[in-house]
Amino acid sequence: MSDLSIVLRSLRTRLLSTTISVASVAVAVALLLVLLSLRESATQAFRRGSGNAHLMVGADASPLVVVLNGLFYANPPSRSIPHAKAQEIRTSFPWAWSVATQLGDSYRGSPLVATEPALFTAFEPVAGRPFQFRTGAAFDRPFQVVVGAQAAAMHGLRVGDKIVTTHGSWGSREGGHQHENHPCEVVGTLEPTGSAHDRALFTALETSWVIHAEERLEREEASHTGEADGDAHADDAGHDHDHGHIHVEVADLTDEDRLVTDILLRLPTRPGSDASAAMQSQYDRLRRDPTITVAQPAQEVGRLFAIVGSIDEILLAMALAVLVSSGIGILLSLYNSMEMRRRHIAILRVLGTSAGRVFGMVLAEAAIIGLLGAVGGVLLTLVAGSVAAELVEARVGLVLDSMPPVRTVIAVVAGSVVLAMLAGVLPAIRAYGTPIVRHLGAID
Amino acid sequence: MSAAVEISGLEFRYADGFRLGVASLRVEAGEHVLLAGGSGCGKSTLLHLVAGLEDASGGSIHVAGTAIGTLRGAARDAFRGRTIGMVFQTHHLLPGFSARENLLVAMMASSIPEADRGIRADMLLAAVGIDTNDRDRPADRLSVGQQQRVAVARAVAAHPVLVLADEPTASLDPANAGAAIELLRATCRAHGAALLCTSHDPSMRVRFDRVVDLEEWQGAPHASKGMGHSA
Repeated sequence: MSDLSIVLRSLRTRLLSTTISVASVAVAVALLLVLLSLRESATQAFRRGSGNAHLMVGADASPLVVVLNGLFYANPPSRSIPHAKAQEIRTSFPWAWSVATQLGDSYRGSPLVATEPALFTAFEPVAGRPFQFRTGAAFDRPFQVVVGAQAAAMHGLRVGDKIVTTHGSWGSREGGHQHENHPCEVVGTLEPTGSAHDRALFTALETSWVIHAEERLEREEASHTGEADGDAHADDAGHDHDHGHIHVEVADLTDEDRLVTDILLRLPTRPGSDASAAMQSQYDRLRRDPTITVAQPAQEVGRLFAIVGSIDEILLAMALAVLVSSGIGILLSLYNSMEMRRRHIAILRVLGTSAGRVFGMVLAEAAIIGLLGAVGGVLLTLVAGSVAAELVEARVGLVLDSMPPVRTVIAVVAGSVVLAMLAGVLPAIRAYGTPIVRHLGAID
Repeated sequence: MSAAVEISGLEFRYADGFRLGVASLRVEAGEHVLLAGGSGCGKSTLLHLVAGLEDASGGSIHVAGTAIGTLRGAARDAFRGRTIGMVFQTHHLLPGFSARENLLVAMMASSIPEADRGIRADMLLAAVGIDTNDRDRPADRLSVGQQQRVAVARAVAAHPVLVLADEPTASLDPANAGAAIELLRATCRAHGAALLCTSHDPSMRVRFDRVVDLEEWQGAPHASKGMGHSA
């Protein structure tokens, strides 16, 4: 028999009260950890996903929307950049590299990014870490696709598989009409990057241009022959398509077909440096063009966090308040139990237990409640965090950790134990001062 | 050999101003003394003073040669735990703890080796008639008679020099009261412990080596709880 076994027995004797106290700490700790985890990993995932592009040009209404749609695939961009404008931008400065993308199509809800092979060599989704191929290689002609790691796992795609892409319909396995005349072959799969790019599929710009050129021509022909009303259906953008047999070659594409939704740009930098002296001047220059929207991806991600930062702080404050209230719960539980346990304490004192040891035992009880609650909270976080991470991954495509860094977990667990011990101080003082004789029976 | 208890010039003042005085009292090692007297004459208070649960306002109390009043805080608690066993009218077993655990807690302050404590607890419980099946049951689920026997066994668990028993038979009928006192005395005798027992039951007088009658020596109770000397 030791002080610890007395403490454990005391907790077991008050099983219901102990369980409620432990559960309240566990919920508070889990809430705090999930929030910290989501905050930490969302920050990292967004920062990771913005990659090494210095600037990004799109036609959406605001720079933040350009970044969210173009790099994080939140929604298909609503407007495109004409070919001539895209060429003008790409040749207006000796960029280190520029990569154009055309977004809008999908495969079973996963975004299809029509782009250039340079995306796999020049663009780094995580700064310093370019795309790595798990199997196969980059596309080298139209109607070939490279599949992001999460999309490959989600759809069970492997090199050699044939897929039919869909117009629009991001985030949904239903809807949109399928480009059945142009099945695409999977030629490569990517290693995970921990960013939104993992849930995307990539194909050549010409794939998208040819498909949509054919559809445009078919629409035009249908309207000429008066068949449009009987054989067409509406797509997401409100255009009419039919399924005639017009065949378009890449060489037949006009500037009207060669639309892009975004252009990723990187300025020349000195070796070992990510910054460019020309950054601000080029940003300002491009901003003066009212037909396009220019964004600095890293800055927009920072702005996004500034916007959600206050909400984030409120949520954290609420989680801390829940933790403190669970500490108050421990205090009340222990304090109220002291009234019933005074005889118990008096007996321990008669049997040779000092007041200091009794004080320590009550503090140990509180600490154990805090520790059990914190451990329970960590376990709860593993479950709740993974559910939350799955939801975010499915909705936004960001890979989030279900648990914050170990250092944070240790700090929260230690904080919970300290808070519980603080909550135990008042009951411990009450136990320390228990008058022995009064609780052994009437003085004769 | 020092006496189990030696009191000299003891004074204690109650909050209401009454005074308990004991000029001299000595209980020899192994001696069984009954502290007799009616309710309110200070018997329990005297036991509490001897146990160091209350502080006297004057005089001295030596237990096994140690002036317990000079010990402070944890030192006094530890001394009490290893030197003095106590039995109460309502037994005061630790709720939620088994009979065996009650004895093990009592041995925590003793110098009995950790490895021997379980064996000693079983031996003591067997000696007071607690069956093996009942030893691990929560003490508060035992019958009143079993609880009293566990309390007696617990009082001698730490191998004390002195056992203080405060009205251990007050709630028992005469037949059971006699049996309980005999069990207490036999247990103390078996372990060489002196016994200082309070009782207002006159039938207990014949069962002890010596009787100290507080009421008789101090006159009317509550006037002045002074006590003469008993050698």
